[in-house]
Amino acid sequence: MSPVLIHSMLLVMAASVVGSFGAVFLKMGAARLNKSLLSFLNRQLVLGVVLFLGSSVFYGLGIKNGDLSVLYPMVSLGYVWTLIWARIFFKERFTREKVVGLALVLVGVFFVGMGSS
Amino acid sequence: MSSTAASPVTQTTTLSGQRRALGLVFSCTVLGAAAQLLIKVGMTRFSMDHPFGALTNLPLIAGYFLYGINTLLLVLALREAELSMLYPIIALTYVWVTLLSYGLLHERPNLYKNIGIATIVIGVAIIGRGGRK
Repeated sequence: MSPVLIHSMLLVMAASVVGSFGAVFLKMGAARLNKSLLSFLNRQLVLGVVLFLGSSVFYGLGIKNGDLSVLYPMVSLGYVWTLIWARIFFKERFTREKVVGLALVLVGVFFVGMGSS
Repeated sequence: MSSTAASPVTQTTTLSGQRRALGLVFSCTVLGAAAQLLIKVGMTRFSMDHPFGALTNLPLIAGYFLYGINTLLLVLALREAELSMLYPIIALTYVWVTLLSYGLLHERPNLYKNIGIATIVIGVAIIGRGGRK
């Protein structure tokens, strides 16, 4: 593996982790919404949006000069992290549908990446 | 002025709430795909030599605006359903981007991409079905 590819992979990996935490904070923030529009400015939602933006910066830098067939599936690792965080932080269960569905999604993203390189 | 010091709302897991959440995330993926294509088109006209050109770059502005709406819809969906169910559904964005690239950007269809988007659709269908139970 070339150093450029490893560099890209690390950036995309960082994007997937940061993005998955973004999703966790959006979920926390969503629970704090009420009828007031100002409730959209709660700390968790703002942090979630900031993490999403941060994630897209890492992602943009990562896919700039790397092989998409390797990098696309790595982006979708974010879904796996999110499943784990959802279980830890929100006590959501791993159901068979979620696990099988996610596995198919990962395989699908892998193929889209293969076709994009 | 109403207070912003809200007590956390308890998660509603009603069937209609779940359906609404699935619908919202579905719309999210369509908007997300449109946003990606607009940004892609906008970026081809963007150069770091003229960064303020972004201010009059309509596709770029529209793309980021759609991303904003997209995040808003995701948040509204997250109020009503589980994160672990909704988040992987966002992968449908790949499906719309691929189809729109074929249709609008005249990219040549390719077998790997077609297998990929079909597999994603099946995976998302399974996740969505689990959410309706």
